Amino acid sequence: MNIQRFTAPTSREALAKARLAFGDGTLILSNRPTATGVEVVATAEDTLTSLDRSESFASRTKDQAPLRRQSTPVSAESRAQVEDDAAQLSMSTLSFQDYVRERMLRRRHEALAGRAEGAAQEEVVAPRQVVESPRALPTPFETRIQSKPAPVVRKAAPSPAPAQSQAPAMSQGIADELHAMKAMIEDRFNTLTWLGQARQNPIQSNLMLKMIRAGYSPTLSRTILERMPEEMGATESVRWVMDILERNLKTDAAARPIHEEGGTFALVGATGVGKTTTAAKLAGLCARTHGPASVGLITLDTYRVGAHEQLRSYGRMLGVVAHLAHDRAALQDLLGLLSNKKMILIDTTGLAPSDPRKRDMLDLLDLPNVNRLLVLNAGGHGDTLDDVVSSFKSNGVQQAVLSKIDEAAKMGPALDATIRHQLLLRGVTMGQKVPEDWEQADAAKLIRMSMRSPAKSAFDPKAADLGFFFTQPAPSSTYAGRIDA
Amino acid sequence: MLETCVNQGAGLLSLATQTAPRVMAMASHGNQQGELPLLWSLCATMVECGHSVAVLDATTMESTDNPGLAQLLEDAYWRGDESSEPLSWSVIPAARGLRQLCNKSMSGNPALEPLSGLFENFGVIVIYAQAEVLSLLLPDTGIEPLLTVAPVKMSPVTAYQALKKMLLNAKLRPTLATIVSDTFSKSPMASKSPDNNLQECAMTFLGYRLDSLAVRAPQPDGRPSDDIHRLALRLLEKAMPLNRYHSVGTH
Repeated sequence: MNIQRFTAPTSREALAKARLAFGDGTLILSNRPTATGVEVVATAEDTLTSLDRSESFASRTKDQAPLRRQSTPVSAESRAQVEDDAAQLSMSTLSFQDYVRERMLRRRHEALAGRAEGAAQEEVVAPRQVVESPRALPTPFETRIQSKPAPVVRKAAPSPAPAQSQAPAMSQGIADELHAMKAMIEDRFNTLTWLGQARQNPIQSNLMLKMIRAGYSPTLSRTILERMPEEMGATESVRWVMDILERNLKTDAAARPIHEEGGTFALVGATGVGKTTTAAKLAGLCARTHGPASVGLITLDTYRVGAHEQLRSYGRMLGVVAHLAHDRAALQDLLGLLSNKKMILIDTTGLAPSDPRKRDMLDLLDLPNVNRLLVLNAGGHGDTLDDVVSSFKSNGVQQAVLSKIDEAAKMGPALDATIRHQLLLRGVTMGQKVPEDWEQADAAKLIRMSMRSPAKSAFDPKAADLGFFFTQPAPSSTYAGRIDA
Repeated sequence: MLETCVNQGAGLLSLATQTAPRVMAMASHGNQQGELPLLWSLCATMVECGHSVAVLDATTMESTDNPGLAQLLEDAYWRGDESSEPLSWSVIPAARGLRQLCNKSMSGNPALEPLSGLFENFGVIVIYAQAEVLSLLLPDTGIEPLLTVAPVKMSPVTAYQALKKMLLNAKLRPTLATIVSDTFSKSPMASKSPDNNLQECAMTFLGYRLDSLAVRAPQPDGRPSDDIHRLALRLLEKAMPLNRYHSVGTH
């Protein structure tokens, strides 16, 4: 067996020396940095072939016991070699080679640990693969894999058991990745298919543009338009879309208006959406119908300067006392005091969705028979509204009021959020006059308002921009099941 | 545009009831050390809330030097003097005047009816009178007179007497406020407070469950505490608007 060491200042020179000695069939067994440069251990392919033959011959003639005795030192030697190699990885210029060798040795080691039989044969075969593999692999990959093998070897080498247990975990991870990739590819293909259809079908394409211009989200628009019958004409299509939107916008049109029905309502929402004014409007309407004695007003807003004074001023105009509750006990006490009222309105501090006090406020309102009435600014941005609705979400049916619809340039985002979050719209406010500027929610009217062609806006997309709306995978499946189309 | 809509609450002003004065009552049972500072604080709080307050004080007799409700009831021209702009807070001697109203009540007429004309520019009318007077003035009004118990030796006894008179004679269900001083609340005997004794007596002898509100004694600087603020709003809630008097009183 002819194995030689070659040392040189660089690995390239050491390899050149080895090739000089063994020709084209040079097999590099190891390389490591030394004080003077790089040391390469190499042999010829013929040597391994002859070794393979002699080993297979030996395995046929010898008993099993000596084989087992031999396998142990070989295994230890190979393990030591792996550790040495791993230690060299960061310094080696032939890192991919080392990596492949290490992987092969580890595989052989695992095979040895699993079954002792045939160990010697594998040990001989393995180096051939170790040396041959790098030749077959393209060079550019070397740099990418260079730094990764070392930790793998250090973990796997001390005990074979963890290495075996990692295999299913890795395969699970790979399976997950494959699934994710498959889903992504399917989604992209669906998007492309849909976009192709949309281009082929100008009615659908125009409707999509119209909905997006009205402020509806691409998610909802696509979910609806995907279900649109193909044979429809332009006029019917528009009517169909508006019909679907109207059907999915839940309002209390079938029931009595909120101020006639009565109950205890806590007005919650972000800052500046008009909670106090809405409370005053509802109080005024209830007082007009049932008398001032039928209304109870409570404010929990001890934070905003003048909050209590504002509600008290409205209360004084109405002849209703506006109470202030500092804590849960005081609120419960007041609810007991006002229990004979037709309608109790609780005004709360406006809180941003990310405000840490929000949880305390919602806990405070977590009382029996206290309904939350979420006040949403109809002119808000879609994402902002989504954020607010998610953060103030309560159990059961979430009731909402759209405020300031007279100020909203586009109603689409607010109606979109209302539809997607399945809110029950109890009313809309369209001005500052108390209590006149209040209306019961009318789905058909609101949808018509939202789809009315607005003036040209810099924020409106062009038909050619539609593709950009779908470049990111849309979670259409989330909403698909909820749309009543 | 500015002429037709003065402010955003102009629509509320069309509701006629907002100007009607509300009547509330406070029982006097001889414990003026506790009652008067509390009444002062309540009035101050209500004024702070934007209500003009007229206190009809039945513990003070009207005289020619110190005219009061009796003169108002007799001489209508006084109304003209005060109707322009009400004072934020007026204390009016009313011992004789309220007695007159009691007599009117006994003859079957609504007792408080004349007050709506006399004090139409006030937001709140507080009748501060003995239990006997309140029993005659306020039956079937739904008003819950304020009954105070101070940390004074005889206060629970006199309060019980007042409670008994109001409850049995006129079915008035008072709001009990216990004045708690800081020193009393910190003492080890705090559990045996006067209101506990009064509640026990009310339950035992009158079969009446009396709820109590603890009110910290008014601050020396006269600044109303949160307790008093809450009590004032509670009394306002239970006060009777005078325009409602006709429908209630005639039934």
